[in-house]
Amino acid sequence: MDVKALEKAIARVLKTHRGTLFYLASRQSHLLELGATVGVMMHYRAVGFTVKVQNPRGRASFRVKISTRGHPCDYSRVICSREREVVEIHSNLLVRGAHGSGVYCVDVGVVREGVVPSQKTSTRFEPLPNEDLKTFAEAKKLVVYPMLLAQFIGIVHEITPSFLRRKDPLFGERGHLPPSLVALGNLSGTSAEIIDGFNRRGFQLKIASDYDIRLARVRKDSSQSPFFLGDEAASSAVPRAGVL
Amino acid sequence: MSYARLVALLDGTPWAIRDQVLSYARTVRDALPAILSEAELPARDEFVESLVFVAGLRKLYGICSSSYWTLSNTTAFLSEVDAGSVEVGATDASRDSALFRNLRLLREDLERALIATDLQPEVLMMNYTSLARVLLGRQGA
Repeated sequence: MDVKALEKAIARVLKTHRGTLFYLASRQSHLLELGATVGVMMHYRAVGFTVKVQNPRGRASFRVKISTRGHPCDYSRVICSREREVVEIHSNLLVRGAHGSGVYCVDVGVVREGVVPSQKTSTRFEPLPNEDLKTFAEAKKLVVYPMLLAQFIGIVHEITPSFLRRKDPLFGERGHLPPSLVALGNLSGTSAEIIDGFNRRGFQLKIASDYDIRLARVRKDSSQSPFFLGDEAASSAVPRAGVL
Repeated sequence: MSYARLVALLDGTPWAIRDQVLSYARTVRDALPAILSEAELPARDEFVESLVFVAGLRKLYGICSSSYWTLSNTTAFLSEVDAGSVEVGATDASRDSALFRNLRLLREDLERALIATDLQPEVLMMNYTSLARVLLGRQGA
């Protein structure tokens, strides 16, 4: 390895692609949120739902909401239907918490059909009542580390606490997606043990680490969900030297 | 090769990228003595410094590669479900967009630079024990 040549070559790439790097610096999270939205779509297709994109009126593009601001009807939604069951997928959706009137913005919200207006009746979107939210996903461009897992449990506790009390048979590998954490990085520290503990304690949720790799794996196989890859036990056993 | 040289290399890159890369390199720097000891590999200062530099490149490559592949795989799926073009915020992120092309070029150029200097991406992304063994082997060759 010629270290001087390596340094010079990388410096050249950084200079050439400065503009793209500046874009990435501010939009990396948004790309992951797009990935989370599409991953949820992939899950519902994998479990037998028909997935149909509904773009905002007058627009021919799939428009992802990337902040708390804006009315959902100005962004795309995805209608998922299976027999008589219909749900919708929305990005960056404002919902009420489960314990009071607090309002949270979930990166990906799966809701009952028709509860999010498709036309504006006022400029402001009223946060969705908590009971209309079926499940959600949160995206973090981070390695999965213990405190992140604890924070995610807090989010689930505030928004959909029933998933911490009992396992609903309608959610899981062949059903609705449980509350899920989407993370770009691998499991670090004692994260794998913590996740095993969540399972033993009866929490119903998914931790989708190495998410870009998951998307790549299911890309060519529409029968698979990026959240359930069938080798979760193997991937959670990360040797310490490899956790970085 | 050192952390300081990594800092110098990243001068001019946006803060958010620089911070991710340097934070990661510092984490690796702190963990390397234990990793190398467990693997019964020498922890000479110069070698550890070179691994820290390579760790920074690994993080940089990871950011660029994962962003490209996430966009590539999601837009491919969206075209299967006839979603139309793709907008992320105000940016066109479709497969024929400038953004898609620029992310692909960035990833490709990084890979070319790594391969040309004998640090193949598949070596770069090995766990640190394996990476250290490969680099040590090359030093001895």
